[in-house]
Amino acid sequence: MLEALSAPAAVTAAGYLGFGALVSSYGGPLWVTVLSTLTMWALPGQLVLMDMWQVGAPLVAVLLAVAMTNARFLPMVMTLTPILREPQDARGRDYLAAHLIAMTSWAVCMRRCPELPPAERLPYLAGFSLTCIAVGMTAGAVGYLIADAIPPVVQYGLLFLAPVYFFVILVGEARSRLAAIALACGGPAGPLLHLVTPQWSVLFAGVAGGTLAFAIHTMLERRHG
Amino acid sequence: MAELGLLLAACALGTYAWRGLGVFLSGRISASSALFTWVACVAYAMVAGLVTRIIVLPSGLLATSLLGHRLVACAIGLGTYYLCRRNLLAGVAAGAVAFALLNALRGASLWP
Repeated sequence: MLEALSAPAAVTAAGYLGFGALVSSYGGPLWVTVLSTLTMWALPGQLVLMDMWQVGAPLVAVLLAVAMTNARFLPMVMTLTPILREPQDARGRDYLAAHLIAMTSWAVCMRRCPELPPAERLPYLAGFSLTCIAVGMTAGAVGYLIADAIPPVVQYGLLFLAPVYFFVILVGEARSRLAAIALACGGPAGPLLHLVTPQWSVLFAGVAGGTLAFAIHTMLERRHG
Repeated sequence: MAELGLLLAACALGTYAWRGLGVFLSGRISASSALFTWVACVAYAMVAGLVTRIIVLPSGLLATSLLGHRLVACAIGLGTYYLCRRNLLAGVAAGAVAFALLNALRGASLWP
């Protein structure tokens, strides 16, 4: 367990350290840095929330963009829940466990949990995720609080943590053709639409880039199978 | 700030909705339909669009850095990630340190 935790916890810390610094530079409050980690537990969605808040986007736009950004949880929870569930379990427990499922915990538990006895699977997810959430909340607060007190050179590095973190994850871990096409379509759409409509750009870029990627993917599937 | 609290509450609910729906649907329908494929495409494209925008058109302190430096630092991060056999932490650390050093060369202060 400790072994399984150290690398994800360190990566979580790096991501949230950068997020905290970014929120501070956007002029957001400390409480939202920490509370969003506990209540959302989804760094890309939190980044979308604070980025759109900063440009004064309307609530509907922020909600739609955050919801679409986090839509990946639907297939993740659908595939992990049957592995976690014991046949005699009440569903109530599954609904609590679902909040703990995020990108890293999903990937780790999909690999490890089938090897564990059924009774130990949910405790494994809970131990893993709650540790990462605690690390994320702490790192976010630390990043926020030190952002103004450190030398400018370090500030640059800290603020760059979040973008480079997602850049490396997105490009490096995009192993499926679907993911690669979606990244290629969505990437340029972000800055281009930002020039047209800053407040709606995140949402529009996702829907436009994603739909184009879906069309290309479907066409390729038909042609090559 | 009351408005930001409302925004966070809405986003937390909008995030949990997918997780709750996932539990509800698990074992009932297949997770590999066309709708799920489209949803996955939009989710990837949206995060990619946001990250590209932060790198190409940043705000705040990052806006005072050079675009070339941001791109080079991203490339160094990705290269290190591959060189260290897909080690995410090494890649992220290398990218951030490279970016800090590039800004130091440009004359950013080493003291608070």
